Order: sequence, then C-alpha cells, then structure tokens
Amino acid sequence: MKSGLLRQLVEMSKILLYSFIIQCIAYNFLLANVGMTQKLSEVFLSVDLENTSLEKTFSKIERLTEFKFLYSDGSIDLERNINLEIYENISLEELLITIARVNKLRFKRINNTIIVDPLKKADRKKGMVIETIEKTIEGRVVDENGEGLPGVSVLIKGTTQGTVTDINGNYTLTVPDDATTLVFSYVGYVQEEEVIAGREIINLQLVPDISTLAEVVVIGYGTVRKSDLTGSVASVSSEEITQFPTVRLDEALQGRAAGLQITSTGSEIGGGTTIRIRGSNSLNSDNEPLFVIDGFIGGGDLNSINTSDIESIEVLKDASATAIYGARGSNGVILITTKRGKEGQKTRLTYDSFLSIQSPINRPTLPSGPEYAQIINEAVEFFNPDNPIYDPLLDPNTVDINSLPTTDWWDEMSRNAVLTSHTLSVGGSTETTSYYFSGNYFSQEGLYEDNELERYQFRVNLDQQVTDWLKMGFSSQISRIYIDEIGSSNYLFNPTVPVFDEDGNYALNNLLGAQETDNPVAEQDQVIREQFRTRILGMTYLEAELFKGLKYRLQAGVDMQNTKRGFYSPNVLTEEPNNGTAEITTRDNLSVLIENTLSYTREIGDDRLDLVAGYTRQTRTFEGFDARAFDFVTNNTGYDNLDGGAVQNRIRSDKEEDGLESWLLRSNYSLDDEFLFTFSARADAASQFAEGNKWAFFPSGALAWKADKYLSSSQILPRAKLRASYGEVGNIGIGRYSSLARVRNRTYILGPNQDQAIGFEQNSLPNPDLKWETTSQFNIGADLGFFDNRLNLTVDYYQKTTNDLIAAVPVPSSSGTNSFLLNLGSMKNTGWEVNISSTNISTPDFKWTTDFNINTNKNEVVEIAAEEGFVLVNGAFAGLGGGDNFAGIIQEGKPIGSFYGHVQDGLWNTQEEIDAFPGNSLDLKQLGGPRWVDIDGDGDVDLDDRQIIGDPNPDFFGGITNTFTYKRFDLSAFLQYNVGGDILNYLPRNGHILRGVPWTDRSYRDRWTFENRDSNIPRSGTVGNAIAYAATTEWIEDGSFLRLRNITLGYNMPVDKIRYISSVRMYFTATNLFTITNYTGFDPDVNSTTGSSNPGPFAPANITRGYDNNRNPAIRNFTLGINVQL
Amino acid sequence: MIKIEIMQRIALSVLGGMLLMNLSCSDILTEDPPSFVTVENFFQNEADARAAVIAIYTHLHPRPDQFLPGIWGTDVAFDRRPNEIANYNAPWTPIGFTSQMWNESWLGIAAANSAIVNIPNVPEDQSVLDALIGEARFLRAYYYFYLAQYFGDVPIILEPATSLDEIFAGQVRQPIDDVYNNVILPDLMAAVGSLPSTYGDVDRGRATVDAANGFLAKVYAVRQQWANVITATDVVISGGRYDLVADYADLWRGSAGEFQLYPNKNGQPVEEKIFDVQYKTNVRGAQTHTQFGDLASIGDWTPAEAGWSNVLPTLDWFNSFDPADERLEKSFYLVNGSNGGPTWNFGRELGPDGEPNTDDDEPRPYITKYLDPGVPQVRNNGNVNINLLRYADVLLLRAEAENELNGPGGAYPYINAVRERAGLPGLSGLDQASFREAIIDERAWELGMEGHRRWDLLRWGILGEKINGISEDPDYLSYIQQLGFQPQYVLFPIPQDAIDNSRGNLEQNDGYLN
Repeated sequence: MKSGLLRQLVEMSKILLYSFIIQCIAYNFLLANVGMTQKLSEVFLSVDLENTSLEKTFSKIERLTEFKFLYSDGSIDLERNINLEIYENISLEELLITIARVNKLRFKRINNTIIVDPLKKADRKKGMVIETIEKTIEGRVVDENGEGLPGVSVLIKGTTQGTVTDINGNYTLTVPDDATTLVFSYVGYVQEEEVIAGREIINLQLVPDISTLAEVVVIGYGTVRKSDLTGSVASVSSEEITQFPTVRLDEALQGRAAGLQITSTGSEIGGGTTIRIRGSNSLNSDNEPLFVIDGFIGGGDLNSINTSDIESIEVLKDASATAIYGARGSNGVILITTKRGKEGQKTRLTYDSFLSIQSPINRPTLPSGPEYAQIINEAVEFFNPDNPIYDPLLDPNTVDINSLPTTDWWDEMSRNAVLTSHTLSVGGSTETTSYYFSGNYFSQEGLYEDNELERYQFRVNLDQQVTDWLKMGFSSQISRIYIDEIGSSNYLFNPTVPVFDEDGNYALNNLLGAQETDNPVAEQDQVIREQFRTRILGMTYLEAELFKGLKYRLQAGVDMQNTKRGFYSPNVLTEEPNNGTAEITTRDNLSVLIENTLSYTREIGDDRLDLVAGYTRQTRTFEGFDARAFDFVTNNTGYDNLDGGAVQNRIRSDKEEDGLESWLLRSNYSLDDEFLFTFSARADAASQFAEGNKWAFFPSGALAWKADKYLSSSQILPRAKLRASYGEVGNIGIGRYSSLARVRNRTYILGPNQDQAIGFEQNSLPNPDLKWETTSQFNIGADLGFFDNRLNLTVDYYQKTTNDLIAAVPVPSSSGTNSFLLNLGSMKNTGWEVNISSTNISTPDFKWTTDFNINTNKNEVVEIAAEEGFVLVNGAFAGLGGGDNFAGIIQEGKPIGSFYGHVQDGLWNTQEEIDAFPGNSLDLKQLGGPRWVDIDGDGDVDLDDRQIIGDPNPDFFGGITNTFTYKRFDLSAFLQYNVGGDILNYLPRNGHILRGVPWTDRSYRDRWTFENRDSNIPRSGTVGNAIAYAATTEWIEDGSFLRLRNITLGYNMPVDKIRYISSVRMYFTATNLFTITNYTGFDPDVNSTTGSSNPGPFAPANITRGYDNNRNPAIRNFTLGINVQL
Repeated sequence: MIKIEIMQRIALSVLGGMLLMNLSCSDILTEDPPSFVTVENFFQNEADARAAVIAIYTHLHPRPDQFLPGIWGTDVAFDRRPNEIANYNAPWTPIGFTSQMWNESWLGIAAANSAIVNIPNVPEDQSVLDALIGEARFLRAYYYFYLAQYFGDVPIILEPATSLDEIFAGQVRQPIDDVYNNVILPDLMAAVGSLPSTYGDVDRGRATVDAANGFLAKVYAVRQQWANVITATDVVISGGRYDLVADYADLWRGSAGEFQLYPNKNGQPVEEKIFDVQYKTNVRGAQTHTQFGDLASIGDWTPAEAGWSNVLPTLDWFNSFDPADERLEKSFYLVNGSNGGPTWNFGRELGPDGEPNTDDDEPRPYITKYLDPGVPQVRNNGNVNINLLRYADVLLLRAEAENELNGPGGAYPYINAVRERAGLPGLSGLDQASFREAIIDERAWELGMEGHRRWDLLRWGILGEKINGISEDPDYLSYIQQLGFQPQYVLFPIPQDAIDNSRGNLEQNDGYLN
C-alpha cells in the first residue's frame, strides 16, 4: 500500500519533470525564431535592374525581401530610370549604397522599413545607408503581492534611455537591437536586471529590499535612513509580522529581533508575556519596554492592537536610540507604526482572514480513581502506620479501590479551541489626502470551556495636505474586547468524584475533611467571570513647514481605556459562602499627550543636518470603582442587578493622577556621508518625585563611521559601518504618590447598630529624597554587508549599569508602615547581539533567505539595599505558597532572581540511613522523604544549608527563519531557541503536597514506596506543610529548548485573468509543531508568576523569572488563512 | 513677499501652538492626590482628630490571630494545627505567627503616637482635645501592655519618627519596668483623667473611663500592686454603670446589635461589657467563631459556613466544670463523629479515648462562645465581638486583690456574684491559699476562651505547671508537650522579621534561635 503510493508519486513527478523539460526546449526554440533579425549586409538577392525606374526598383526589392520602402510623395523622383545592371547575389546593403550614390538618396532602415530621403549635404558624414534595428518591449512590473507597481524605472543598461511604469505597473519601451539588458529599479525594492534575450514581453516581480540602504527607520520624533543609523535599532517589517497570523503584537515579535527576550506567562486567554530588552534593569518597577504607538507614548493592552494594521515595529535598544524617551527609556522602547495611505498609491482594499484550531501540545497526566485512592491511602498509612484511619470512601478494608471510577477532569474541562479573525482594510491616496481604515473581528476560544475572547477593532488613519505648507492628520483606534475568563482551571481534583451525581446535580467532593467542595466543572459552568475592555486611542497632528527645512509639528492624543469586570458566584454552589456573590469592578485609565516639536533638515553638499527639539507633556488619570453585593434571591440576574442582593457590600473608589513634562533634543549630523554624529537628550520632570527631585536630564551621544566609499570596489565587503554610543536613560521606578506621607482611611465599628466609623491614619513615610533610577549604557556595533550585500551582519556589544535602584527597604512597624523606598543599589547587564540575514539563493524562480539572531545577556546585581548583601525572594510571588517559603535570592555579585534552596540528594531509603544522620531541624527524616544535603557540615540540615541552586537567565537565545520562494509558493520556517536557563518547575510539587490536594504529577507513578525505593519522588504524604514549599534542586530543571515556532506554506494564486483582484495569497501555518527539550513541564517557554498579588518589596515579574506554576499546557495551532487584495 | 508669507505661517503656528499650550498649561507636576490626604493637610479640625483616634482602634481588628495566643498553649485550650508556637513542639521557628502579633500592635502604637503628637495643634476646645488624646493614650497603653505580656522588654517609642536612623535606633528594647512605669501606667492614668464615662449612641464602643480603670486594675494585678487594683476596680464597681447580665449566654448574642442591653438579676437592662473589639458581619466580619467551631455539625449551616475547629478546649478544663455550672452548656457544644462531625485529614484526629472517633465515643466539646445561635454564621464573617474587658473580670480582679491584701474575708461578695449567676453556691470559709486556688479556677470557668488565660497564668507564675499538669486530654497531649514546657516559653520569641528589620537593634529573647 505504502510502496504503491510512493511509486505513483515517483511516476507523477517523472511525468511532470519530462513535460517541464519539453516545455523549456520548445520555449527556447520559439524564442530563437521570433527574435531573428538580419542586417542589411546579411541579406543577399539577385535582381535585374536594367532600365528600371526607382519605383520599380523598390518594388522588386520589396518582393524579394521582407523590407518595405517608405518615402514621401514629391520628395524624390520615382520615375527616374536609374538603369543599373543585373546583380547576382548582391548584399542588400551594397545595392542600396549603389542606388543611393546614383540617385543622391539616403536610406534609413528601422527594423523592416527602409525610409527613403533625398541626400542632403549635412548627411554626408553619416553615410548614405543608416541602419537602426529597434524593437519594442512591453511588460508589467508587480510588487511582492503581485500588484502592479507604478513608477518603476526601466532603463536600458548602459544608457540613460528608458521609461517608467504606469499606474498599473505596465510599460512599453523601444530598444535598439543591440541592447542586451534592462534594469528595473524602485525605491525600497531590490534592483533587478533582466537579459532581453530576444524577448518582447518581460514581466517582473520586484522583491522588497530588506537591507536596502535607502530604507527609512522610525526612531521616535522622526525617521532616519537605515544607513545613517548610529544607534542600535532592530526593525521588524509588516511582512515579517503578517507572514503568519498572530493574535498579539508580542507574539509576532517573539524571536524576531535581536536583543528582545519575550517569554510567555501562560497559554490561557488574555495570558500575556514578559518582554525584556537587554535584560532586567530594575528591582522595584516594571521592566517592560516603553510602547509608543504612532507617536503616542504608553502601550496599554497589547490585545487591543490588530497586527494586520502594523506597518513596522522598531525596537530601540541602546542609549543613543532611547535617550529621546529619557526617563522612560531604560527598558528599551518599542515603536509601533500603523499603516497609512501612501502617496501616489491607488486605492487598495485588503481582506485578511484566518481560522485556527488550537490544541494542547501535551495534556496533563492524571491519576485514575484507583491510583488516586492508593496514593491517599499510602499517605494515611504514612501518618499513622500502626493504625491508619482511612477515609471511608477510600478505605481498602471496606471499598474495593480498584473498582473506583475515574473522572478525567482535564477532559471534562478542556476542548480543542477555534480562533478566527477577519480584517477588512482600505488604503490609498488622492492628490491631497492619504487614508487607511480597517475593521477587525476576532474571536478566540480558550483551551477551557467557557474561556473566550472576542474583539472588535476599528482604525482610521488620515493625512490631509491643507496647503502646500500645512498638513494635518489623524490616527485612531477603537477596540472592544470581551473576555470570558476562567476561574478555577483546577483539573487537579479528586478523580473518584463524578461530574454529576445520581440525581443529576453537580457532584461534590467530600473526601479528606469535613468540608464539601464543588467540583471544577460545576465552578466552570456556574461562576461568571467576565471582562470588557474598551479602548479609544486617538491622535491628531498639525505640521507646518515654516520655511524650507524647518517644520513645526503639534501633536495631541488621548488614550482612553476602560476595563469592566463582572463576577457572579451563584448560591447553588456549595462553596459560595454568601448565598450568591456579585461584584463589578471598573478601571478607567486616561492618558493625554501633547507634543510640540520643531524639526530642521538641511543638506549642504554631502553633509546633512537633522535637528529635532520639542516640548511635551503627558498626564495620566486612573479611576477605579468596585461594588459588591451578597445574598441573592435569584441567580438569573448575575452581576447585572447588584441591588437584587440583600446585602450591598464594599463600595470602593479610587483615583490617581500623574504628570510628566519634558524637553527633548536630537541632532543628527552626517559629514561627507562618511561620519555620522548623533546627540540626543531629554529632560523629564515627573510628578511622582518630591520638589527638587522632579527634573532629570538624560543625554546621549553616538558616532558612526561608514566605510562604504573605501569598499565600493570590493564585492566581498561592499558595505561597512561601525557604531559607538554612550548615554544615560532613566526609569521612574515608583508609583504615584510614593514620595508623600499618605493618610488613608480605615474602618472600625461603633455604635449600637454597629455602624462603620471611618478613621484616618498615616500609612507611609514621606520620601522627599527619592530620585530617578538611571541606566548608563555603552554600545558598540557594526553593520556589514558581504557579497554584494547578499549577506548582512549586524553585531552589537553592550554594557549597561543601572544606578540608584529604587527598592523598598523594610522598616520596623513602629514607624507606622512596613517599608520605605530608597535609591540604593545597582545592577549590570552586558551582552552580545548578532543578527545575520542572507540571501542564499536568488534566481527569478527560486529564492532562499535566512535570518538568524543570537543574543546573550549577563545580569549581575552589583549592590542592593540590604545590609547582608542579599534578599530572599518569597516563593509566594511565584505561587509557591506564602509565609517564609523562599525560592529565590537577589544577591550581590549574582544574577537577578537566582533560585535558592536546598540540594536534594535522593530520598531516605532505609531506617539505617536515617539513624546514622544526627540532625533533624527541619523534621525531614522520614522514610521515603527527601534527603537534603548538609551543606555547612554542622551535622544538621537547617535553613543554613540553602544555596543558589539555579539561574533562570539563559546563556543565549534567539531565532532562525528560513524562507523559500519558488514561483508562486513560499515556505517559511521559524525556529526559536533558548539555551541554559533554569526553570523552577512547580508542577510536580502539587503532587507532593497531600493536604487535600490530589496527586497530579505525571511522575506520581514512580513515587517512592516500600517496593519502589529507587526513586527521587518522595513517598506519598512525606512532604508536610513545614517544608512543602522550600525550593530544592529536585525542582530545578534545564529549560533549554529548540522549538519550531512556526512553519508557513503560502501560495499566491494567479489572478491576472480576474478583473478587480490584484492578488490572492493563501497560507497554511502550524505553530509549535515540535519542541526539543529535556524540560518535563508543559512548556519551557514559560514564566508563570501567578500567585501572590502582593509583590512585597520588589516587582515579582523582575525577580521571579523562570517559575513554572502554569497549569495550562502550551498550545499548538493549525491555521488556514487568506489574503485578498483588490 | 515671500518673507511675509513665512511670517504668516510662523505666526499662525505659534498661535495654534500657544492655544493648545494654554489649554494644557496647568501645573501637572505637583501631586494633589484625589483619593487620599497627606499628613500636611490632615489634622485640621476636630473631625480629623477624631478620625485619627478611630484609626487606632482598627489595629484591634485582626484580633483572632492576636487573641488566640491568650488561649491556646494554656490549660484551657490548644490549637490542633501544626503550629509551633501554639503547641510548644520546639524547636520553635521564631517567625510566622508572632509576626502579626508584633507588627499589628506597633502599627497601633504608631497611629496613637501620631494622634497624641498632632491633636494638640488642632484648633478646638482643650477639653475636646484632651478626651481624644486620653483615648489615644488608653489604646497605646493597651498595645504596649499586650506586647509586654507576650514579649517582655520592648522598645519604647512615643513619638512619630522623623528620620530612618531614628526609626532603627529606636528599636532597642527597654526594661519591662520602664515600659510599665513610663508608658503603660502614665498613659492609663491620663486616660482615666480625661476619658468620658459614657458616649452618645454613635460613639458607643469607644474607650470610657471605666475601661481605663478596668485595664489599670489588670495592669496593677500584673504588677501585684493590690491596693491599686482595689482603687481602680472600686471606681468601676461604684460607678454603677455596669452590672452582670442575668444570663451568661446573652454575652454572645450579638445579632441585635452589640450594645443591646440585657437584664441583670433584678430585671433591669444593663451592660456587662466594658471594652470590646467590635465586628459586624459583611462590614468587618469576625474570624473568631471560624477558629473555634465546626458549625456544620451543630446548626443548619452549609459547609461553606463551617468553621475550622482549629482551637479546641481541653478535656481537663471541660471536665473541671461543676455539672451544675450553667456556664457549661452555655460555653460548649458536643460533637462526636456520628452526627456529621469532623473527620479530619487522614484520620489524624483521635477520639477522647485516644482511639479513632467512633459512634460510641464520648462527645468532643467545642466552644459555643462567639456564635450567635439564632443567626446564620458566615465563615470569617461573624458578628460577635471579642471581649477585652467585662464586668465579671473586674469583680474577679477585685476579689483576688482583696484576698491578696487581707485574705478572703472581703473578697467573697465579688466572686460569689459571679458564681451565683452561674447557678453555683457561694464560697465561704476558705483560707487565703485556697481562695487563690478558687480564683484560678473561677477565672478559667468564667473567662475561658476569652483571651485572658495566658496572661493570668503568667502573672500567677504557673503557666508551665498548668501545662505540664494536663492529663485528661489525649488530643492535647498528642499536640503539646512533645518536648515539654521549657522555662523560656513564658515569653514568645521576637519575630525574626522584626529583628531583621531593626538593623541589629532588636534582640531576641533568651532561649530562642537568633
């Protein structure tokens, strides 16, 4: 069967191959004939011209050859008898020369026409027979999408003779016979040369030039030619972003740009990522980069941006690039530019749609009912070996535990999910107006039932030339997102409980304690958790050219984001304590930005000066409102009728404001197109700091040298640029009002009716000395183009030091508070970034390109605000339980967030082993329990025996993309890799804590039992509360991975015959097809810090990297998409 | 010509720019928080001063964790959770439970210090301010008294700190005599001098002069200054504002409002509670009842409303009640395994016979106090107050002081008033030592599970003796006394985080890991 299929395939390809070869031969043959043109000297004829008039002579020649004579009446005497002789086998050229000489004529041949003129004196030098063989070539030039490209220059190589394509991309060009090659060029596209080879129709598709020197890069408050960049900026084009569909912008960027580390925090809907540009710089504040959308500072919800609308993304990395964003630049800046109508572009309507099926890559393995009972009973026997008190439902003496039923809670709660997206957009321009608008509908199902996201999004971008010197424009984005959130996705539930009991009610778990608990399906079905996010981002600008080169721009924008959350827990749930609880919380964020900038551009010879100066101010307002009600008569109204609850409870509101005022300046000077200088600076003042510390100044400078002119003859290295930059950028590092001594209200109960009495007390200490965190960064880099620029290499090395780190130091509670913010500490990040893009093969039909990036970042905590030089990181941040269970450490001289805990050396296997070891401070010595190493050798295992047991920071990471284009097909494969980072895998630990939590780990089958002593997995019940959460080496795993993140096969349908449609692309994409890793959790690409919402002294996302408390498996996607352009 | 046009363009743009600048040119750099106030603009008037004082009370609220140490680890109760502090199963890890006890008290002291220092500057009648300051000093004294009971020597901090250095330097522990003589006693005396004897309806529940005198008596009892105890209790008793309610059970009926008056033995409506930590369901609900009882087994409550049965009375104490004592059935309810009672994890819980619970077992007693049986209870959302001081306590203190000073002669009326309400015969004919024993027992029966026991045993110096004397409760024995009661356990360890946060200025108590 198999071999039969194979044979058929081989036969089919043979036939295809043969027919292909035959076609090629035939085609060549045809070409050879069509293009044959003979010179006059090569045409021989025999003719009798005795007593023949000129007119007759011409007609005789016309009969014998394929040439026609053309002459105007009256200019020559046609009746004249020229009376020549009889010629045998004479060349036409010779014959014409003879005729010309006799009759004083001049012949001019153009192709098959011979024009006859009387010979004038001035013509003598040119000769009497002039031969010009010309022909017409026509064709159509299209862009990468197959759409006609207007304005493409078509030149005959070596001449200045040529034409440009019309609005549909068509051209017609008359070329001399000896022309061999046409050159097609267009800004932003790779210049192509086509050998004419006798063809009269030459169609061509131009390829965008990624590495083009003329490419323009957005750098914040302006643009710069890529070749003139002095800073370190990574660009991602819309082609790369839309090559395969992504839901979120950060997903689209993952692995795409050097120096950018993007890690998922979970696969559930609305689950996000953490983004680090060149490592973490701060302990206390967010390390997420600054997002700037079309010039509006502040990114907000990445779910609200439709990736189809994005024109380009720039990642600003070094200080020279980010200093223009001053106080907010230290984590790097991501500039997002959305699509706008292009000048001279005809209206283009695009429809983008895709459908994805999502399924988990690996599902959790759960114990069956009998296995579960066995594990629980083992724990019972462990606790009370002489007299085990079994749970009556699992008692092996009364219940045949092997006959217990099994409910697979994962199966009951999960599904294969569907995701769809439709985007319709129109872009184009008239003489004075450019426009782009789009609408998007997107819906996504989560892996869990009742987990959904739905989005409507609209965009309008307009640019209007008001007068020749005044321009106005507008960008806007409106989105509405609905999320049906998951609550308890807790499939870690007693498998012996069915979903429904005999009466058809949701079954309860009444094992392991007096309290009955609802099963997770009951929760999933009955608890309402919804979220509505509305966002309006609008910005308008006015740009006036005051005189040539000097522009004034006023830009004002507003970002309004509203989130409403609704919650309802119905009274039918056993665990609902309040007879129905309904809650609505709303969060309103308003950000207003006004920017005034002056820009000046001047070119003097080969020198060029660009100046930008500006004044900006931004205010942000946050408002929150919550209300809750209890005790509902009916569950039908959910949270939509709070006054239907008998008890209205907890009404809260909150409002915060901040302001930022800035002056900015940048000058770019290009000397001789060889030396490039950049100076940029920003002075920022933030309301968060006390008077006297509000303002800070962040300068930077950069220098680059372009060696191109010394290399222009070199084919191997035609392009080289060396760059160096140094500068300072800042980070606000604190929340609003952190420098103030706050007085907050508190509630006490007074009076006969026990009414609330409101008290006020100071709950923070004033902090007038707080100032900005400052990061100084040094960067050197090189941009090199090899082999005719087919191989482009960018290398950067950076060194960053952040000083004045803001950290909360704990203070005695007698001060009225628990912590105090201080500027104390510093941190260092150093790293390399290498980006290689190469065109491996480029023929008209087949093209292969490779993009590769590799990055390293080494983080070191230099100094922190702790006397001992270290601070333990409470595991609660990462969901590792609360109290005093530490899992990480921030220690001077070590990388941030190193894992900290005990070294485990197997399990206690025999009583002899236990007896031989003296100490037992941590109550560990239990048969089958973990055996920790006595590091300090004091004969006891205690808290002093902890050490650094892992480092979550990878040694290096990056991505490789290979793209193949064959005729109408394209195939691209994107591999992401991450090497050397450790993960604290919390997942199996859930299984070791047997206090009401079912055993869930995939390795539960291999646990220690008296029969299976050769195990590293502790005996059921041995890990009690006291040490349950302590990190040990058993939980640290190598998180290295190589993942085929995406593979896409696309096909551009031939649409030449179809009216109105200019291109249709269909594609099929698979994500996460395979992952090579030794990691045993669901997904090595994880940083799940869901847990305590109270981050303590540090922001959890900064210090708890590499934690896996993620119960949701990673997702695999299969997507079918189509893109149609009219 | 061209120049004119350029000038026009500039003028237009500048105009447009200025227009928008003007619109936006408000001061955006000065923080003026909308939803809270700062210290600078607080303490403006009497309302602010009052609010500053109310805030001090709020640190009484997280009481369950704070008042439980007054119960467990004594002869009346134990905590069945694997909690090192509660169960004396050393080595104690000096972190965790004590942290909240320590920190919450200090936050209360900080709030009091702020009020005491700032209120005098409020423009208002001196008498009004004095009363508020007296109230703040009363609460500060309470928090210091609490700290001194559990931790011994503590830092003395009486003013808000003005610098970080000062905060850290202030963490040095001061001798306990100084804490009493320089803080607790002067504060309480000041409170006695300025607190009102009663409040209007809205403010009922705030500290009164009787509360101050009552606590003064408690402090003097600890200091063994019996004459002063008599003076202080005399003010309360002769003041006539409080009396014993006729029905002991009424003390935990909070459903109709905590200050509902209940009849005394003469049928007149009276108050017995002098100072409470106040709670209200759905506003500031109490956790207390959740700690004590497995409510599912005694009422018509769903499991969600059930408690955790963490803190259980000892059988020794339960068995010590006279069967005729009415307080017996008003303090306890009985549960065994058969009526849906608790089956704790893995069967670790044993019946009173030391064997697993079976239907034949003697019932296990649970505490009824803090439950209002007429009202559905919600877990961690109770309505019943915690009594910090009630009239019976004052009577027993008075009886004890009379006995210590002059022997039992003048003490009988006070103790017998309490016994009489419980339906017990009055005492008579005891010598001083046996009367002392009677007081020890009576205080357990009357005030058990109300957070006073540990303090009482400590001031009598018999904590270790009583704990080691437990013999009848196998559950208790399985949790406590694993390593025996050690002398250092009379004080709790200073929480490690407090030591860490003090920059080396705060030292650990003897006998604990440092």
